[in-house]
Amino acid sequence: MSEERTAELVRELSRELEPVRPIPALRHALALLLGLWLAVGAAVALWLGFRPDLPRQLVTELGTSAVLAALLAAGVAGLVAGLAGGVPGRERLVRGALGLGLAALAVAAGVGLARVAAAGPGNAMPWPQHLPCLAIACAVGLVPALGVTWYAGRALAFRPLAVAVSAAAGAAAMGAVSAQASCLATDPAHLMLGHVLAPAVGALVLTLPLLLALRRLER
Amino acid sequence: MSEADPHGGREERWRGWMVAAQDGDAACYQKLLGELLPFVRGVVRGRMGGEPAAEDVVQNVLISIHLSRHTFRAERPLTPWVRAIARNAVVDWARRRARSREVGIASADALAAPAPPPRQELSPGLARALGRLPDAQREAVWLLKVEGLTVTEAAARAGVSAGALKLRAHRGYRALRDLLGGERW
Repeated sequence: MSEERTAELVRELSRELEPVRPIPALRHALALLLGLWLAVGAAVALWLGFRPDLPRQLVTELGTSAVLAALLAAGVAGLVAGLAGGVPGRERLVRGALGLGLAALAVAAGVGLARVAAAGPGNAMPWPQHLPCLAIACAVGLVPALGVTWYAGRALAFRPLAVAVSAAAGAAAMGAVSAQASCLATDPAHLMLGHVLAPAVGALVLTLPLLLALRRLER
Repeated sequence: MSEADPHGGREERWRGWMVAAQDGDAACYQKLLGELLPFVRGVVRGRMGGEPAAEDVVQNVLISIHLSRHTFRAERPLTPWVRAIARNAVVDWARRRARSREVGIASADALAAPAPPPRQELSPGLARALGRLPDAQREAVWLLKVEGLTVTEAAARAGVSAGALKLRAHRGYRALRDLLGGERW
C-alpha cells in the first residue's frame, strides 16, 4: 500500500471530525467504583445484619484484620488493573497493579493458612456453610466489576480477557471484605474458604459474563 | 510517567493538538496526524522490518488513533499512548497472519466445496437507511456487507486505500445504527 494512500487517509480522517468527550480519569473512575462498593456493601450488610463484635474482632484478631486488609489491597489492585487495561499507554500501571494484587493475595492466603494451622483440628464448618459468603462476595463485587467493564468498553481494551479476569477477581476480593461485616463464623478455615477463596471463585463465575458484556460494549 | 522530550517540545505540541482535535478542530488534527505519521512508521517498521504489509499496519494505527482518540487524557503524555496503539496493531497483524496461514492450508482442501448460498435480501428498513447514507459510506457498506468482498477487494473496487475504506464503512455502520435505532436488520 503506497504512502500516497496513507496521506489520503490522513486527509479523510481529518474531514468531518467530530468532537469527542475524553474518558474519565482513572483515579476518578476508581473513586466512583470504591464509592459504589461501599454503598452496595453497606446496603447488603444492613439487610443481612452486622456482626455484633466486628469492631472488637478487627482490633483483637490481627490475623483476621491482616487477611481483610490484604484482600482489600488485592481488590483495589484488580480494579486498577482492569481500568488501566482499557487505556493505551498504561501497561506499566497494569503490570504493577497485577503484581501488587497477586502479592496481596499471597499474603492473605499465607496469613489465613497460618491461622488455620495455629487453630489445629477442631469443629470445622461443613463446606456448604462457606458458600453464602462466597455468594455475597460475588454479588457485592458485581457492581464494581460492571463499572470496570463499562469503562474498559468505552475505552480501548487490547486484552479484554485480562480486563475481565482482573475486574472479576478484584471485585470479588472487595466483596469478600464486605461479606465479613455480616459473617458470624468463628472458624479460621472459614476465613480461607469463604473469603480468601472469593477472588478465585469470582474470576471463575464472573469472567465470562463480563467478557461478553465487554465485547458487546466494544461493538 | 512522562517521557523525556528531546524533540523540542514535540510532546507538548502533540498533546495540545490532540486536545484541540478532541474538541473537533480538524486543522490541528491534520497537523497532528501529519507529524505522527513518521513516528508511527518508525514504530511499525521497527517491529515489522521490511514487511510489505507495514504500510497497511500504519494505516490501521491511524484509524485506531482516530477511533480511540477519546481515550487520551490531556494530563498524560501522547507518545506512549500512540506507541501502545501501534504496538498492538503490529501484534494484531502478526496474529491475523498466523491465522491466515492456518486457514490457507485448510482452504486448499475446501476449493472443491460447493458455492456459498445466495445473499440474503435486504430488509426494506435497511435498504431505506442505506439509501440515506452519503455515497462513499453506502458504497463501503455495500461492498463489505452486501457483496461480501474483503477489505482489500472492496478498496480496490472503490479506488481508495484499505484504511480509507474501513473508515468509510465504520462511519456508515454508525450512521446506520443511528438511522435504524433499535430496529433489527
